[in-house]
Amino acid sequence: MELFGQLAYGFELALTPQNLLFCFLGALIGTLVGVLPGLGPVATIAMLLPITFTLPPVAALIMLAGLYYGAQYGGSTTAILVNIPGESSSVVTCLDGHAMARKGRAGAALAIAALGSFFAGTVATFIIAIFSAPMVWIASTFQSPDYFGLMIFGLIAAVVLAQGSVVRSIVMVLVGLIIGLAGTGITDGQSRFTFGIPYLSEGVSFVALAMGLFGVGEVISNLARTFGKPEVQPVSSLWPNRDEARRAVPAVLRGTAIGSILGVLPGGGALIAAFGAYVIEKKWSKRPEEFGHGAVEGVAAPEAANNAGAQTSFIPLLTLGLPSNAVMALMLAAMTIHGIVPGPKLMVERPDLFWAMIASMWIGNLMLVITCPIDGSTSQSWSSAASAPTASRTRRSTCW
Amino acid sequence: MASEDMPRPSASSGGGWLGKADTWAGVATIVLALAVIYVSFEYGLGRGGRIGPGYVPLVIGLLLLGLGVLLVARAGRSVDLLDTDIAWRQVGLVTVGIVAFALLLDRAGMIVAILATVLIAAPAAYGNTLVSTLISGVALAAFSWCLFVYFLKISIPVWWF
Repeated sequence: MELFGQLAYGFELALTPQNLLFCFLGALIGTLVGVLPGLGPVATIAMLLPITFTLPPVAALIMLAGLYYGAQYGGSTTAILVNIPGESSSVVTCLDGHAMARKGRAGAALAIAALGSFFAGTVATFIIAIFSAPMVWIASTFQSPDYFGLMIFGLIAAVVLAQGSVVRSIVMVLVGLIIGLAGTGITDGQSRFTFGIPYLSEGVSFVALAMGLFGVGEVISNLARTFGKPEVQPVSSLWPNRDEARRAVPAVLRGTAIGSILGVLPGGGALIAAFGAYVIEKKWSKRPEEFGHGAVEGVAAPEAANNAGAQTSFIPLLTLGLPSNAVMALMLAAMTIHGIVPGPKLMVERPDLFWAMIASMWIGNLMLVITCPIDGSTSQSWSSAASAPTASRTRRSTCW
Repeated sequence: MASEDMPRPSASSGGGWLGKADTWAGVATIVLALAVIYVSFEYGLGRGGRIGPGYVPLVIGLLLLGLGVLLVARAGRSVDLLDTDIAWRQVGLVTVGIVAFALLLDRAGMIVAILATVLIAAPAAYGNTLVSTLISGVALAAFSWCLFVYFLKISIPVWWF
């Protein structure tokens, strides 16, 4: 089958020492960022954007992608052990993960979260690969009107799927358009909204915008919050018992399915996937009263879903050029920095980049699940250390 | 994240019209809209069939103006209260730190700029001592030098000379 040939090609590229190194780096940084409350993948990717200028595009994107799904693994560790979600998509894991930990099943919860995430990551990798084939076919027919339609669709989706006030969402879309107008006009050469500042003649730099919006903003809001001294639950046996495994498997399957679907939707991603999976799991469960008190399904499903969602949210970006969430907007920026235009033609023009990235996602997931036992044993010291230096870490990063 | 989006009632802002988030969001939108409209007239509007550089900004500005008025008008029915506890200390110190970095980078070089930024921004976080601040400042300066100057060879002024 052609699909496997292309995947093999991707693995060949992703397994070069350099790309392997950056995949590992991304997953590692992602895990650290996930463990540290107050520093999410969005802020970190925003801060790392300037560094990727100097990397080869494939390596840069592999690293940034690794950071995103690595954060999903790391975030669940603190959620389970300390009841502090290291990452916003791990908020629901706190509910039952920490309850399991207090019952002395911390190790099992960690293992279920990691194995569930790995399974979901594997499935999502294949989904992206399968999705891409019909997209290549559609890509060949794409013309300017189609791109225009896509843009309109993206802007409308941004309004429809935003949380909160619709009017305010429209206002923010328009403000974004105004910021986009700054700089020298493409057709007439007239400079608009530059106020005579030469730096603005090429428009507002996306890196600067992302830094201010996602980097500095998040740092300040986290500094304003204080974290209490956490109580770390001990990790006993790392393996789930028979009953836990029996309950986890179907939940992981459902979580993967829900996460994969919610990740593809514009506005979707890991966060919505995790919440959606938890709610559905609770509704369908024969024992809904157990949720919040250490239900295995309440850990397995959202953890699988957030990882599946994190990965399938690459589909709209890679195939349509539409970022479905803030992380994807930053990935789009990273591609643009390297002169790559994400969209229907990406797979035709840069198959190396596309397939190497997909293959690296699976490799990164494998790395993360292998390091899970090590993570489990060190995570106690990790997470107790994590809460204290958060403040100093986030502050340091403001300089970047 | 989701929990932050919930409207949270705070004691300092009552249910009055001035205490609604939408009122002030609307006012900010109207101010921005008027500025955009004003500026767009300077660029030449062109005609409907052959639009000038000011045409699109004008349309966006008018849309913003309408939405701003709508926000203010409907604010009374909104349940979203104005969040008045702003972390001024954090906002101020981090902002001043970044501005200091921008001003110092070309004049005093990267090392001084980084140390200054860390020293200014450090009190924004709780639990920082002078020693820990100095250590992180020096470490960050060394790390930045290694990464940006030594490995990536980006032309940044390292010192003031």
